[in-house]
Amino acid sequence: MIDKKDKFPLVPTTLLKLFLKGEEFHEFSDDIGEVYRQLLQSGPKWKAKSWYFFRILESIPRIFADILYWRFVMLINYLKIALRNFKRHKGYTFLNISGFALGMACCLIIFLYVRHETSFDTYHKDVERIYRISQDIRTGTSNRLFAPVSPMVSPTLKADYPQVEQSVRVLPTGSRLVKKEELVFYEDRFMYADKDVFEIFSIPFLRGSPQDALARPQTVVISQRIAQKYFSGENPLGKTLEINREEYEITGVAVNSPKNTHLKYDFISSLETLADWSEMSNWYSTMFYTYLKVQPNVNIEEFSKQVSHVADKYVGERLATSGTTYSYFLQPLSSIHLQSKINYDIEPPGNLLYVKIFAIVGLFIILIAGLNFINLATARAANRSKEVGLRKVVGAQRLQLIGQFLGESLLMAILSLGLALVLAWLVIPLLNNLIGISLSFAELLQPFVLIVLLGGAALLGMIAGLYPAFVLSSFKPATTLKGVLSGRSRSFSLRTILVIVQFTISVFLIIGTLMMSKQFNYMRSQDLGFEKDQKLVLPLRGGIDVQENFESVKDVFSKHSSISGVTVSSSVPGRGLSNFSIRLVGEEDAKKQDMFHLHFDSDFIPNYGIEVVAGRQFMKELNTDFMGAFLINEAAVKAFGWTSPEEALGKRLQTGYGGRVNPIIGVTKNFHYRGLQTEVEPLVMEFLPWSFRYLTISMGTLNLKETMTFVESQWKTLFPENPFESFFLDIEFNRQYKADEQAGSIFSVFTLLGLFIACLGLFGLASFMAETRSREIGIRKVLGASTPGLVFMMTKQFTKWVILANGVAWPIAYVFVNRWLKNFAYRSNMGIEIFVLAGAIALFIAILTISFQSIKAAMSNPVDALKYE
Amino acid sequence: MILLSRAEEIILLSVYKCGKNAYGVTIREQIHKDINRYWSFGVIYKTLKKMKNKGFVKKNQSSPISERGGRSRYYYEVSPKGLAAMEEISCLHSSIWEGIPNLKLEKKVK
Repeated sequence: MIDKKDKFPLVPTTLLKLFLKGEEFHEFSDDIGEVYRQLLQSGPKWKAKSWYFFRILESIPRIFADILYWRFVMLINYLKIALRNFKRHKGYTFLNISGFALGMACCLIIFLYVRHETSFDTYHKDVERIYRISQDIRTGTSNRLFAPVSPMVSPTLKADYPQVEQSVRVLPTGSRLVKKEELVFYEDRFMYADKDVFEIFSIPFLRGSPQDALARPQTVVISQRIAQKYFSGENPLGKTLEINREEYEITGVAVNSPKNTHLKYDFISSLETLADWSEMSNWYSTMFYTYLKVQPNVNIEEFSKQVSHVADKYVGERLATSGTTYSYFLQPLSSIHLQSKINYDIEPPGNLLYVKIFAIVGLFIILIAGLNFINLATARAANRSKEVGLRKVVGAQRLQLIGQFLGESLLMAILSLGLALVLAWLVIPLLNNLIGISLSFAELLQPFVLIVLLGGAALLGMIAGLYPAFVLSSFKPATTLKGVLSGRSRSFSLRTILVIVQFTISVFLIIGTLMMSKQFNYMRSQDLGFEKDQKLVLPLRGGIDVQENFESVKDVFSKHSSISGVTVSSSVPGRGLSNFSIRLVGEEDAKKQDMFHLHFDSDFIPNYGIEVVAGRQFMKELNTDFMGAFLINEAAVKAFGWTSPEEALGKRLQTGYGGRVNPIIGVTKNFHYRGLQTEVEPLVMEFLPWSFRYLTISMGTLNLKETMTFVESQWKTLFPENPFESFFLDIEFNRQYKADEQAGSIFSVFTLLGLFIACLGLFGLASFMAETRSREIGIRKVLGASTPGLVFMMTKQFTKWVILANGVAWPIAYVFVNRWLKNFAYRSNMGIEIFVLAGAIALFIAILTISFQSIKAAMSNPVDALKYE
Repeated sequence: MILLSRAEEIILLSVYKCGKNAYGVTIREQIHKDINRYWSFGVIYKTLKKMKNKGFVKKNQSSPISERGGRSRYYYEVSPKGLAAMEEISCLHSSIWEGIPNLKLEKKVK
């Protein structure tokens, strides 16, 4: 007897073992082993060994090809079985894929949104070295943060700090009247800038050169859009545009402003134009947004410490005598959109909170969808148990089965991704229209993003499929083939937890939606302290000056019978007000107070229906009221520390600009000149004609159209040069809530989808439960159970879960909603009814979902269920 | 009609020629005798397996043999279906070669 272990060369034998198993291996190795032994006896050892080795080596390619072939055959078989399963259980597949696809589509959209919000200003070259310098003005105990600073800051930075590579000033001016022959429009995105502005902001030029485009006064760089609008295809270089009645030469055409920058432009004009303006050397003004690029390798912490004192050397002493300090701080350019929370930002910043909320909502929704998948797959395990048993009997390994089921969920995930992309493609334009955001589907089709998405979907499929794969592959063939396995397997408790988690999230989202809509309703319906309805506002811009003739202009409009009043003012509620420091005259400590300024004529208060609580309002007949008296609001009374409005009367104030000293003649009730997100802050009102910018017309409800025509025709005769434009005050005022309401509507859409997906899962689960319990129900019926009783029995269990989910969701929702509400100065209370209502909605929808299945099961004829016994 | 690949044909005939003693080693030797080259065992076993699945050959396990360390040999034998296939192949050969003169002879004549 030969001991085979010692005799066969180990390495090639092991190699062979890698490729062949069982009988095939033994046949091969023993056959060549016979020859090997003969060779050992007849010749040298190495000859035998090498013969043995080469026989194995030369066989491997063929054996390997064979394995690959069978693997492929199996793969095709798996695919066939998977598709067959999809086809046979259309309902289940539909639930699964549509749930998954909806979840993914939500995530895709949220991904686009978050990406858009976080991509602001990140495209500039060297963006990590670009900062905006902003100002903290401290007066006594109060301080205010200003994004714009003095025009002196930028030259001083360049002169005094070697770390600064470049710095520029930008002065956005708001609307300008732009004219070219018969084309006349108001253009809003107009700004002045230093000639080096293109060294900091990467703005590609289509025509002209960025180096010297803004070197001379009265030059302007326009965007492609504007070039098309005014020159329609001609080369605009060297041509001129009339802007606010001055000629500007066009020295460059830049690409259109991207959507993801806080500094959106259509016209960039040279700051040289304003070189003679007295404001240009004023250290105290705050008008110029100043951006700087530091040298590479500058320690930014140290630099920001030094730079905070940039003004001290020049005006520090004078500031100190008035008790004011200026300190400056740096904001990284890319953080401005989401993280800057200071006054007078160029455009209202994005809200980091909403970005975070949406990211979380996205995660939640994909979680719901994933849980759905796990739930349905394990629930349906019983239906596949026979297949598993049979596969095991004919020799499938557990790993192979896990691979098969993982592959199936992978296939489903990828199918879902395809569907999700189609859904997103369909929905994004609708969403853009509906909510007024600007997401682009094309961004999803970039190769990198696609690969990430595909990877993400695959990962999701794997994670979701892992648990079902383990459960399915663990079945014992003997029991499954006997058909013993029932729905009540061990995974039952896990399924309960999954459903509870899904509904916790759903309830949480519902509470959020309800609370948001409650808050928005509250803001819209709150008494603002003035009449906002039936008011048509005409902005006086583009060089219109009514300083001298405002009374006669008002008369022209008030002639119409349905116009009940006309008034002029420096601003209207909902449009911004400027803020200056006001000094109380005569008191020993010469108290200073930051106050908003609003200027209007004597008809404003009666027309707007603002209540005067003490003293009187301006009177047309009194010359002393004209630029010689102040009204303040109750908030100002409180800020100065007076106990009653009457106490304020007769006190004298000095304005922060111009230094006029006037007495207070009246106190108005607080009215919301800004949205309800912010407190009503101290306000001072003055009869000051040179700052009038808005004409407000109070109209009756009758003949609205005819009145509008009248107003427009009067405008054309009064200001033939300027295009007519108007807006309704209430619409304009509510626009302040646009960002919040936008976020609210997105949130509610996602809530709806989340709930829908959770219900899909519940529906699937309920139908499965009804199926597996059909025999039990049949027996109960035979024994005399009533249909309502059976429905109740089946619904009870799910109801319990949803109620439990409510218990978990409420405290979490309370914390989060509270945090969100802190964004608003005036908030509606978070009543218990919101929570109860959310719970009720979830419960109602859940019961509705289940009842369809349970009623069907309860109504079915017991004979059908029992005849196979 | 049964069509076999050339490799299958050669191996099937070798199994037949080996008679009762057809197993891996002898089949390989037989092929060498017939076509003057050694085939890899991989090709032989895989082809045999395929033909076994098609029913042309039968595979039988012998009683343990001491030369193999107490293990069995796996003998192959041509099944009735295999014999039918052989017959058909042989007919096929003569029919497709019909009308072709003896090439060697013709060369010599020239």
